[in-house]
Amino acid sequence: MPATVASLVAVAEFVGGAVAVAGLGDKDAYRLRLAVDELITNVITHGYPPASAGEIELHSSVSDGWVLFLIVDFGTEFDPTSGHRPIPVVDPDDLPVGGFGLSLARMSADRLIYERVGELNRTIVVVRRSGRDLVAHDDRRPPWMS
Amino acid sequence: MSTRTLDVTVSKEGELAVVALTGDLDSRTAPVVQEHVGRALAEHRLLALDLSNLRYMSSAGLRVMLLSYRQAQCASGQMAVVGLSEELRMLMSAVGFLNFFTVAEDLGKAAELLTETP
Repeated sequence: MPATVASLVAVAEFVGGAVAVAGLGDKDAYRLRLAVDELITNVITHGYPPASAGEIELHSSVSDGWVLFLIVDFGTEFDPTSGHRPIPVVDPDDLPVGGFGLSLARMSADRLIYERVGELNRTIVVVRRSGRDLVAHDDRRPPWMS
Repeated sequence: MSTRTLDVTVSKEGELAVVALTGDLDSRTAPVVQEHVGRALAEHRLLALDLSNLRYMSSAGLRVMLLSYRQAQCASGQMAVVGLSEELRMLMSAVGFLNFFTVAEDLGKAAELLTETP
């Protein structure tokens, strides 16, 4: 699909289809859509030069209780899993007006994997059925530690 | 044909300007919301953003909300958010917005909260 915001309609439809097959509840469906939306929006906004004819591929693998999406783009190398991306301390006057997107993608996804392969960015998002809230990435612990 | 779109309705309830959103608020639809809310805040001191029929919001929507909040503050206005679903509440909570936004169950309650605030 073209790397433009108009494609977010198709993304939402695609995610909706996967959610139905996987049987995810409302919160998990929201986390999945948010993660995929934010990652793709980031590629649309920053991955390609403005007005270029960039492309994004979205592939899915779905089973009962979980969904895996593979996002492939041919834009600037960018690893959404790198760096510390905390949500800033909340003061409405000091909050930046942007920059929530990747933090939310990381809070939403149960797994987020990135690899650069040749000229491709490949980002994998997994969301499992859990009904959990959005949790700060750095605050999440594997189940055996909680 | 896709049903995924966003409708914006602007109305007035007493002293309160009401901007009601139906559908999906993402980076595709955020600019039109920003425009409507910005105009409503330029003309009214009190604003309720009615999200009762909003199915989805991404960070683009949070950005609109934050800019609107600041616009209201600068103009000595007030705004409230009405009708949050469990998922929208989860989203706003994750970024700390519930700490400073006035949240109301319905428009009546929003009017009450905004008019009693000095």
